[in-house]
Amino acid sequence: MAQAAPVAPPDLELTYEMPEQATLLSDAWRRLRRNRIALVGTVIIAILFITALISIVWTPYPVWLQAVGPTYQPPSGAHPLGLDQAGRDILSRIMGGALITIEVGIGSAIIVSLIGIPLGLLAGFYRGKVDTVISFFINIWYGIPDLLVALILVFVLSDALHLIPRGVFVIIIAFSLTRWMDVARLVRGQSLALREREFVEAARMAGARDFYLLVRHIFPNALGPIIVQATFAIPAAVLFEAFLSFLGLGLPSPTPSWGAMAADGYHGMDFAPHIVLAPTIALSLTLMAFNWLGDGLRDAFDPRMRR
Amino acid sequence: MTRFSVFRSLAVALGAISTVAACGGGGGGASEQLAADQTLSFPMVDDIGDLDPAHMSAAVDIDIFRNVYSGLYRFDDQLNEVPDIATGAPKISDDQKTYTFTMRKDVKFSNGDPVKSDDFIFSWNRAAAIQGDYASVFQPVAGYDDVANGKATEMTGLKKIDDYSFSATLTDPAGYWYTEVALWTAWVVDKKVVLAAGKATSSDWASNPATAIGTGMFHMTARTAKQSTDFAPVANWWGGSTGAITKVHIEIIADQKAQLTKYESGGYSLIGFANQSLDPDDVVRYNSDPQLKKQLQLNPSARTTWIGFNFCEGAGKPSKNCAGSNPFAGDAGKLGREAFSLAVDRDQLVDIACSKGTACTKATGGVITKGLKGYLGDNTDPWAVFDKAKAQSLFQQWGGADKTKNLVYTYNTSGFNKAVCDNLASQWQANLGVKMQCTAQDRASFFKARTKCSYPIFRHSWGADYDHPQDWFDFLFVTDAGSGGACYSNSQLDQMAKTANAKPLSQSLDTYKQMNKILVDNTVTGNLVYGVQQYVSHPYVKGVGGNALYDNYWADVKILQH
Repeated sequence: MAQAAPVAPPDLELTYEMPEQATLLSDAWRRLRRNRIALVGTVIIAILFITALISIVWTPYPVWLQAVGPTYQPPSGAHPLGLDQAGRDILSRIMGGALITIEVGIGSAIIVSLIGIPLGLLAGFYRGKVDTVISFFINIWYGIPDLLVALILVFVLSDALHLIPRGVFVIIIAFSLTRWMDVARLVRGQSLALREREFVEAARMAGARDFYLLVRHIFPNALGPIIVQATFAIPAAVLFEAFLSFLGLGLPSPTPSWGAMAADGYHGMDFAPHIVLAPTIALSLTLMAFNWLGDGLRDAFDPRMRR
Repeated sequence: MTRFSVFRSLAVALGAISTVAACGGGGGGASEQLAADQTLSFPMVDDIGDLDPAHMSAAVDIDIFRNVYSGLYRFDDQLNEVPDIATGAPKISDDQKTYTFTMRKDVKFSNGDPVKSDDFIFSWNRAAAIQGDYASVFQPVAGYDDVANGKATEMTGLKKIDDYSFSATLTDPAGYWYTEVALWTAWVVDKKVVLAAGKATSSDWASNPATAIGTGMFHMTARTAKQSTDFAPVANWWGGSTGAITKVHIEIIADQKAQLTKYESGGYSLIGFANQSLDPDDVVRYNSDPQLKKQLQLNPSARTTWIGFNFCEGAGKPSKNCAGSNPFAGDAGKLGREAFSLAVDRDQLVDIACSKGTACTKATGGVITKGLKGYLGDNTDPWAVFDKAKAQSLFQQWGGADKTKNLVYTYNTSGFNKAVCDNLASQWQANLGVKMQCTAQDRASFFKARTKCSYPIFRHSWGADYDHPQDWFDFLFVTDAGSGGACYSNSQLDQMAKTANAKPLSQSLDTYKQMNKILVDNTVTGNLVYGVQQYVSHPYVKGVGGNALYDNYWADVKILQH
């Protein structure tokens, strides 16, 4: 009788494909990479940053120098984006304008966050009277026409009281003081939800103090939406600065604000369209890039988008 | 011969040839056939400000209403003062204090009322009592102060001799007063009409076409505030022909682009009358296009723009308005003033800030504008040349690097002032290494602060009211001059002004020029540019233009067939 072939004992040790350990940020980054339009935005923003950094140490011509060539000169080899109505090199001023854009955008996002995050955390965490007072101010602030207030702030702080010289800083302050409510309200909502979560309860039971809970548990878990909100605050601030400068109420001449450059070239559109086209294209690309990135980040931080 | 003149000559010649050809070469024919519609139309950015001569001060209003009102004298195309209602120059007493005026007897208001000496005395007393911006025209007349203060209604210096002659006695000799008598404040208004409409000092009559009665060639026929105003020639005007124009229509269009669009579609005869200008970019476009350039006319205007330096050396020194010291003040600041003036390439400034020279020309002959009495001559200002090396040397000697930290140049908000400031900032940074900030102020705040000599360095300009140097020195450069802004004080200049003002211009012009030279030698002003008045008109609209102070009379314009 033929002997049956020995049967190998079953391998009882099961092998599992262990999921890669992922933090909130690495998980978001992985999803962001899949979003091509967000990546395009990221690349544009990277170029913007690099251009801004280069402009600190070098531009083809000083951004303030007039008469480097004939006024209204169209793009040429020597001046790839042409010259403006004062004979200034537009490429140099676009590069200088990139730095202004970054300063205003990032600066405003930081100040808005510095105001909005603490207020939102406190309102959501403590609820009750604290929430009532903070929410009251948020609602009051929402009722005020922000653009008008910002214009008045710029005028009062710089021109009337001479507290802050007319420049990037006063624009950032004016914008931030009128736009902090979005972040505050968002963080308040996050804080309200997170304070009831088990891990917060557990930490509280373990004797953690309020400050510890807010800083170590609630804030980190609200970070994703905050980053998204801050990303959307950047283009809003950039547009605000450009708008003010277009109206002649923003940065003083000869600061190369893209809004002011567009205003300078506006009247000469008939015969020198390059003067207005260059800053408006740069501004549009920047705004779109930040919005694309913001949308991408929102999707990336949204657990429901996890596939 | 200017390009415009060449074009006009060619156009006339071509027109003549065409007419001859059309007539088959037989017989003659008018080379310029008038169009059936002789409506002269042009736009303005803002509405007329003042319709009453006693209140007027804006060039816009004066340019319009010099066609409606007139006085004893007027300025001709060369700015010479010539009799209008007067029969000739006034008879001046030996002590230079009493002026006797004799009037034409055939002068009538547009309503047919005869013009008599009572009307002039009434008009002048009224203007002194109203205290408009230019009431000071009558300041030299005896009794002016009492009328100005409301203590009297009539200047004691004005005396009726008969219906067609009267005299004016001055407190002190004032050689410039004869020139001032030709200004709008001295125009005659119809006493009967004004009093019938209300109080003597009321201005209601002036805005109503039915009662806005003057002695000019045109009268107002319709007016809708902030929209339009119409005029028509006065029938049987006492002075003779009123020209070809049968109607003048002025529209208020705030947007200069919209104005030009309507002009280009034939909606306006011209743009530029009543001290209007074109959008700077449009002027460049017109000036750079050979076809469009034929429609553009650039005339010198009586305005100088300069860098104002603050001469305050401390509280109350040298002027009562001084509050503190300034780096550009006095002898210590002279090197700085010279350096800052020499560091400006005025060719570049004119190219950039004046839209390739279409809005102004460089100022090289002192502060009084080229073409006016008192002008020093081309290239007579040694500090109005560009000399970077010398500017840097003077700047070093002065110790400018420490004295110009946080330097702010202030101007009243306007596109032109901004362009000038931006260019100065660029040039001073490139040529002297000075980083200067341009700061714009609203007009009222700027003038208020400048009057108190609050700015270390600032924009200043002056548009001449009349062609007499006294208009510049008394208002700008004598101690505590009302419009100076620099708190400049020079006792020698004050004394010279006093002496010159007392004499007729024929005897004082050299003194005024010496005074102008003193300003140049001391670099009191960093003279930058002289003004240009722009006109754009269709080729078939003839007679458009003006002199340094005024537009051509509407009666000089005619519209050809087109």
